[in-house]
Amino acid sequence: MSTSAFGTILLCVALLASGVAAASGIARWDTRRGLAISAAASGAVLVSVFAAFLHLMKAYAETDLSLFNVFMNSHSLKPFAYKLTGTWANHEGSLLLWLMILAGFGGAMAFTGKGQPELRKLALGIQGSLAFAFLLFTILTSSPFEPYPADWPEPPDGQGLNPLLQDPGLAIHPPMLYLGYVGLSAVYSFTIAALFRGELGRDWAQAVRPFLLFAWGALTLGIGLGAWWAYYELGWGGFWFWDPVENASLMPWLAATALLHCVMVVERRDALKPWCAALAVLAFGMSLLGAFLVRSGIVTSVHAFANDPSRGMVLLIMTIAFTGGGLLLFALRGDALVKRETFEPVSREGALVLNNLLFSVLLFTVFLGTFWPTILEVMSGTRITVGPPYYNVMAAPLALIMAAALAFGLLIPWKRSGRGAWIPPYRVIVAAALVGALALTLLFRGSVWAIVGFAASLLVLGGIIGDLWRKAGSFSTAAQRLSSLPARSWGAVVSHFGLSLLMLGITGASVFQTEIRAVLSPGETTQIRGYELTYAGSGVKAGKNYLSYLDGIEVRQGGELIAQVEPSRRYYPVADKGTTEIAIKRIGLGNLYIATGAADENADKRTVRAYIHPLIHVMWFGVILIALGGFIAAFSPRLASKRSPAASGAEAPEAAL
Amino acid sequence: MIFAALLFFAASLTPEQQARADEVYETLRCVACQNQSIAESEAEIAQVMRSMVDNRIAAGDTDEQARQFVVTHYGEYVLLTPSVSPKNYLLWIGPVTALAFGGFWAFSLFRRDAKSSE
Repeated sequence: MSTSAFGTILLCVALLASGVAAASGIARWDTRRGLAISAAASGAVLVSVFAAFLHLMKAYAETDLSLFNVFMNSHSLKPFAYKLTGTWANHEGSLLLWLMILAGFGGAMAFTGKGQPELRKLALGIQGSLAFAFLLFTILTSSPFEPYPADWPEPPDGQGLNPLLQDPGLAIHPPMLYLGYVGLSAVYSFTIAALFRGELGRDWAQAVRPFLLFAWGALTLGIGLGAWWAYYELGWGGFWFWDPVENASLMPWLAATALLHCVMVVERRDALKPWCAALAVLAFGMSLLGAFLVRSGIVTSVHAFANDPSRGMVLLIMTIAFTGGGLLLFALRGDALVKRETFEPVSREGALVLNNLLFSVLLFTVFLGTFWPTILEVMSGTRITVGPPYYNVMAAPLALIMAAALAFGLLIPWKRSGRGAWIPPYRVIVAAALVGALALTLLFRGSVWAIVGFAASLLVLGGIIGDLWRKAGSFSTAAQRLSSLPARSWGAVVSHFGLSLLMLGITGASVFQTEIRAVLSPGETTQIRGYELTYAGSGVKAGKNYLSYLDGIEVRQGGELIAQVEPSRRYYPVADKGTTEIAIKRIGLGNLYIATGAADENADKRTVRAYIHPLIHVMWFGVILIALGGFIAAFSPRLASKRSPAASGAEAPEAAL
Repeated sequence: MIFAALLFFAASLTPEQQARADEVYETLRCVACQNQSIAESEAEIAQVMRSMVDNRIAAGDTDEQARQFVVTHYGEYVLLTPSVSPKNYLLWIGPVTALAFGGFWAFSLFRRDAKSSE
């Protein structure tokens, strides 16, 4: 059987199975039987999609040119690792990756026993219908198993892969990002199921929580990896450009962050349910929008690929159908969820409402900034840019208020149990953060942005310390009390500490960035913050499928040679494209970042651009901690109303995802 | 190319002027790039745009005049910060309005519950 036919059959089997999973899960019939059939069908979807994915990967490994997709996106000379990762470095293949993760979450929902059987049955049905819709879209418009046209001449070799994408960052960035995007599908399915049943309470919250936290952690890492890839591969000396596609990944993250705090309120207080339901639908809707944005050509971006308006239109319709349908259901059923209960403004839940408000406003701001140029161009034909300055002005004050709200939220207990006790420590934290921020800013001669960044970071740090202090009680009880804290609490501590580091790192690497540009002849030297950079000369080296033009740069400090680096420009003959490979010399917690380019008119001269990014490694570490906290909490035992070691131990295997 | 080459050999700036020019670079988008300022880009067009700024600064323009000179050539698209003009009011006011409405909603949540708890 041909490669193309076998792959197509696998996808069709998956389509059939997803149809069964959807029908059996949604139909109103015997719960146990419906659940069993839907679960088995979800398993079948997973197995067949996984097989299809491996089949495509094998075709890429062998550069099997009988597949049109392989012909278009691969080349026999490509390094083997990039042949494998090339499987998802194109529209069709990445859609198959998306499907595989969607099916994976379907399988996890079916076999981990989250939620009551009735809720789970319905949720599996929704998840099955999502898989059905995406499989149909893949088979009809974007099949990676499309054969190479029979009437075309025999191809000598493939067309190659965009060199920018031949990079370790690409190997892990999309799968991680998709784990996050698609993980939110499980949250969506449980929420729609709960809305149908008119019951969105603790059971829903406990079913959703591990999926949400896991997806959120993966999304955090995915966004971080994207920033890291942009930092060292694009060679622009920055890590975040407020590019539409970056924003598209940030929007579901913001919604998911708000949601995971909101779920806590539902779990603990049985309140805020309608809001939570709306956020859950919105979070997955934002993921779909992200998928649509990258592929539609509606926004221009470095990350956009396969700009195809007709496919984009289908994806847009799917986005609108799933998001709009969810919100419509919410509008019809949301009222039933409202529960009038006492709600203290000065309480943990009050702080979480504030958190949700601020995250939603930030989400709205990013949404507005991303789509405003498109809206304006359609309405008036004027082309404008909404660039980083807009987002910085809007986001920085919000981040500062968020940090203040976070410190407050950590100090104050639930309900009205903690009146007044939070005030003295909060005063100390706010005062210390402001004084500390001012001192640091004056010491390092920063701008007003530096005050905001330092203050936000310190407020969060102060909140964490205050929280642990409160929980520890006194020195004598500290060890015993803190060690008995549940894993999910430590997850929160780790994530919040990561946030504090992230804010500190961003402040250092952006506000205190130093940048120089110089045109140097061989032997000439330029300076950046006490480091002397000498352009020593250039050379050419052959890589596996590229030529590398290396520029030797010697880095000296006080006359002493501390590093010899070789930033380069690569030329990929197959794709007829070049990339800039920057050189990084780590200095403490920061980087000296050097990129070179050919200076016009003169072959000997080089334009040397150098940046110093202080504390940038603190920023990367912060991202890792934020995600790690999410994973810790995702895999921690669920919150039991009466906690005993035996009970939480018995729940542990069930809580594993 | 000739146009570009001519501009390259144009202005030479004093350090103070160069510092001002650097700040103007940061606010202008390289038309061939993605959300990248002309300060960050080595694209040819970015070099041309930089020398346009240099020339205007050398000729005695204020920062704003130099920026406007580039805008008249390439359109409002090059401004990284969208202008505060009637067509962009919604963009600028939107987030603040959302915060106000959201704050009002949150407040009503508490108010209502405060009453029901009495």
